[in-house]
Amino acid sequence: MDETNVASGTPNSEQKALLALALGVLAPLAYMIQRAFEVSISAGATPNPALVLRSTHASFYWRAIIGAWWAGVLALACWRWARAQPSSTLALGLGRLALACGLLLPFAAWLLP
Amino acid sequence: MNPLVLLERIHGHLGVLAAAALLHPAILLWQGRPLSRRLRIAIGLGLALLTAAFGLGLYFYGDYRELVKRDLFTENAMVGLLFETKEHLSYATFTLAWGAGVAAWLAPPESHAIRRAAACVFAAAFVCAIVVIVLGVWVAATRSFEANG
Repeated sequence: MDETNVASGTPNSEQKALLALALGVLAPLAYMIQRAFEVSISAGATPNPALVLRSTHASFYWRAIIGAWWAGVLALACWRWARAQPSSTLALGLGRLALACGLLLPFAAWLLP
Repeated sequence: MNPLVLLERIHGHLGVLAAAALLHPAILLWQGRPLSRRLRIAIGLGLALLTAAFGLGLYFYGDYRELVKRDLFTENAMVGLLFETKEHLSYATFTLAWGAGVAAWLAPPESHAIRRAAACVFAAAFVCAIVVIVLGVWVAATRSFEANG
């Protein structure tokens, strides 16, 4: 890591790349946690077709925006932690987390539609 | 032809093309080499196709809700819920692919580990995209704009 950038707190291009990677991986996880909460409070009830017409898409937009916001917060936390670590350690961890996401998210989305 | 039917078909075709375009950078980035012009184009094309498919889906969702979704749940509630699953996985595909694409673009030439991690993230996005395609075909075969004329 570049010492000058660590001292100034300004991320260099490697740290920016790690931030982008962390944001991309953490956003769907934050989204799925919100969806799990929504399903848990509705006790998994099937939506009433008669109400579909009146429902809006606002819940999806809010879930997506809040998911991205949480991912941003967590990515910044990762970056602060990663300043003291070799960037390859965080990159390896994010790669493994992404592969786990690729395998587990479809199951999670199936269980929590 | 009803313009919504046309948009729905374009959305589906763009989604299939986007999935194929996500696999290419996953394979090339795994080598860890700095981005060549060809790889930059592959990443840009994959993200452009994915964004077009995702954006088009959001664009006609209002009409879909009014004209199709109610009948879809009435006809088969399980398939209606699969539509919701498809929506969640579309978001996951979109964020994973953009995160990987931006990371690959920003990574300096010596950062092999970041490019290999980006390859894993692209692979995860590809898996999610394939599931989205399968669910999309299933849902469209059950109820689509075409059934509503």
